[in-house]
Amino acid sequence: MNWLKKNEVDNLWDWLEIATKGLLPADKRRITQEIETHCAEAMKAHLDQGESGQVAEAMAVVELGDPKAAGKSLRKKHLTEKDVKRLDWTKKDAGSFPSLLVTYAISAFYCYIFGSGSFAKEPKLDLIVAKTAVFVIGIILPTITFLIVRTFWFRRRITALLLVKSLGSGDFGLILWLWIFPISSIGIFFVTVWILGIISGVRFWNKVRKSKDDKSGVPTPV
Amino acid sequence: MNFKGGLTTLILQNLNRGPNHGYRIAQDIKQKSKGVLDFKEGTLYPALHGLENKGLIESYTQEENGRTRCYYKLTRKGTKALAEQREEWTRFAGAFTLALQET
Repeated sequence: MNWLKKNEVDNLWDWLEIATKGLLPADKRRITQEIETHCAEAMKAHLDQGESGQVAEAMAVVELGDPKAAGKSLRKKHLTEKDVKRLDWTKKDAGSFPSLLVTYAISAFYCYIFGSGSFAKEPKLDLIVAKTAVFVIGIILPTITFLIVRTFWFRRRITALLLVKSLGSGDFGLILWLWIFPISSIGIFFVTVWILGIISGVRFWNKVRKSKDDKSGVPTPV
Repeated sequence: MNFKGGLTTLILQNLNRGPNHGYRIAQDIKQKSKGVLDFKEGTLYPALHGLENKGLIESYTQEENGRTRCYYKLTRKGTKALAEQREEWTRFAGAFTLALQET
């Protein structure tokens, strides 16, 4: 049958394997159970129409559609193992003193760059603004964020923590680079990276906010 | 016919008649539209889970013939969203029909 060949998989187990790839065990279990029940009903309908068991199963799986597309949609609605790792890292990183020291070191490096000869042609005012912005982004803002996220309220609320981390210094960084490199390619590159970083962070925050999955980062036993 | 954006409205409309499970929702939509609104059934579950995340529907499990079946039901927020989406769709369809008229 030609229509069977078009589909990548013709059995339910392979379909489920692809569609639930990367999801947390609890979600995998729930989705597997739902789709299995769905397929059992569909198979019964095809058997009642006189199809053989094998054909009935293949038809039921074909009716489910592309498992990759379904999996992509499911991973948008549910937290994945990667997401949980990212959440875990965010919790560890926020309020971590070594991480704050790394930010200070990066800021010092930027200040050094702006003080170097390659920026000698830039107007003096621009360099003062750049150094001030680096000081705000690299020292003041991370210190405030560090102190805020160490409070009990924030440590208990991962979504609030994520939003602070996502927005963080992004806006300040954007202003800084637009000011210093308004039309240069390096300016466009940094602005693009910053915008993508903010978008990615806010999208992840939104996903976590909407998700009903366990956000504790503790894997659910299979 | 591809109607990706409208699937959630049709799910809400289906659940407005009472709690239902995935397979039955899919069959109801296909039968009611006389097969015109056809879709891959695997896309139904992400849509259902998305609606659940938004708080428009709720799920519960029930044992039936030795199988655990997941049922969905509309929430108050879902009923309100359905009314809004229905109104929006009616306005859109009316405007489209008017635009297509050859006068």
